[in-house]
Amino acid sequence: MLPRNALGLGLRIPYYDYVFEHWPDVDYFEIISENFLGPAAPPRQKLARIRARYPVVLHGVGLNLLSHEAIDERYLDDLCRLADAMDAPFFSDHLCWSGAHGMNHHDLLPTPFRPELVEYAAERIDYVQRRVGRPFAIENLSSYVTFQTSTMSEWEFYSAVVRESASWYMLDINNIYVSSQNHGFDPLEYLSAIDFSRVQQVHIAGHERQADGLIIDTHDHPVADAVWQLYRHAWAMSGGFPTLLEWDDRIPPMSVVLAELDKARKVRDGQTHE
Amino acid sequence: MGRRMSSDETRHWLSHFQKEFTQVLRTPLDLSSGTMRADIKKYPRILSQQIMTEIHGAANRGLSVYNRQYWFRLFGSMQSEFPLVSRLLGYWRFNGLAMRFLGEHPPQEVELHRIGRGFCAWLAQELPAKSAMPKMALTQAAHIDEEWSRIFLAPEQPRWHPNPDDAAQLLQLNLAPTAALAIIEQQWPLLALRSQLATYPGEGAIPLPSSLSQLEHWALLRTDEGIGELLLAPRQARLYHLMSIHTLGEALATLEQECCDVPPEQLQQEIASWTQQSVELGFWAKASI
Repeated sequence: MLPRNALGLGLRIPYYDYVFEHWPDVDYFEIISENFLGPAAPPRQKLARIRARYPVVLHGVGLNLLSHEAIDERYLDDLCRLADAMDAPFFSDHLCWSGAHGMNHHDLLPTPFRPELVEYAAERIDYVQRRVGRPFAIENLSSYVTFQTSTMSEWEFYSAVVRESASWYMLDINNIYVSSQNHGFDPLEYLSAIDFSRVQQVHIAGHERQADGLIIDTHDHPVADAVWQLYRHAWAMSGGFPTLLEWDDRIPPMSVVLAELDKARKVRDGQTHE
Repeated sequence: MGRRMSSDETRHWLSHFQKEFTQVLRTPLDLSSGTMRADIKKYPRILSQQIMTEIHGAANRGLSVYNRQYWFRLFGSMQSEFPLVSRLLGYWRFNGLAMRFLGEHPPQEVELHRIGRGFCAWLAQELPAKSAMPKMALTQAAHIDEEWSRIFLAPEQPRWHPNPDDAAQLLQLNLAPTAALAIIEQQWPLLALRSQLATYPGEGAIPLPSSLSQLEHWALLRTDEGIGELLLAPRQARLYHLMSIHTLGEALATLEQECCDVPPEQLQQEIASWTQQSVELGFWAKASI
């Protein structure tokens, strides 16, 4: 496991030059697994340089855990190789589906929340965790629809899946906030359902509010004040967790991203108050 | 869905649900308004009826986010993979073509950068023979983009260097080009334009530079420093092509036959120099008899 106070960044292509020149003061990097699964040489060479200096954790978007289709064994083979090469302390993916009927949609898609799906998801997650042989952390989605066929709240569903599969939380605080605003629930009620001893990592990121109030999880802004507030609550409830900042679009200079991460450092060090 | 479903029933239900959701995602955006709007009238009604509507009113509002997000993520990836052709066409026209291509060829692989495979050939068939921008310029641009992406993502391969055993039977050798090499043609200065794309702001179509006085052949080779470009003489490009499909002996004989108007001594000299250059630069990954 990473230290409970570790601060990390999602590694993106525009950061490479800065990292190789400055070797910034972050505790670890997180990579998008799919960017490094193929045989392409340049990404692997750059990643190897970074791994020589920092721990690297794997974050996937393609496991397709809640799809009706079987888990892709070729994908798992590649993931195992990457996890071994990085000696990753854990790997993560999302509690969602991303493809069906032979297609890959390259998006993180919701389902209704039902007990039957808890069993279905837990069985698949348990299989993947055993296959990769490392702690598997599951991320909660941000979403834009909820379904009348749901019979559980999202946090009941999420926690039940983590518990039943003996996996871990990859808790995205921004996603909780986005969905709470889009679907009208109390984000603190969500947090109170989380067993923080099972949290491998917390994600924070920016979002965008549309004119009609709907919030889109864009990862192209600084973290919103309301999300920092929720983050402080989570920190106070938990006693700490590794924190990772994601910035995926309209990526600013790395100095700006590092300054954003410093805000988490201040929460960690008790320098900010509500 | 009153009673609890069995495992098989769950999978079957998911399959049905995901089929309808997929239909929403892949509903083409409406281009008629000039804004690429989600065409919510085309969403399956059964799925729309399952969506909760307390907060943001219409069920289709949330679904339209997924529908637009699906297409715009794919457009972004296609633009990254085909930067030259997307700027020559302008993003609006390019996205329209990409949506048609991806409608016919749904993404299947987990690697997002592979969704454009086959686009170059598809484009060559789809573009009208006559339009404001020559079709050949666009197909050459698409080919350059495709090859650039291919060699960037190619696996690492050791360079082939002849050893004493090879020297004895050099003419019988079949040389395999490294996957990090592409040889392309251009009738317009497209490679130069590609390197300057960042200087063109906005999303509109950028002008095609004037045609070159003659067709140019370039080698693109990925090295540790990035992708290098080398201008080739037409005969040099032909030699490398022949070397990649024949034994060295057959390649040389074919070229000599094709170039009977070139003085033999000059041709011999050129062949020796170009062959040596290709080996030194690492064009070849392996040789076999």
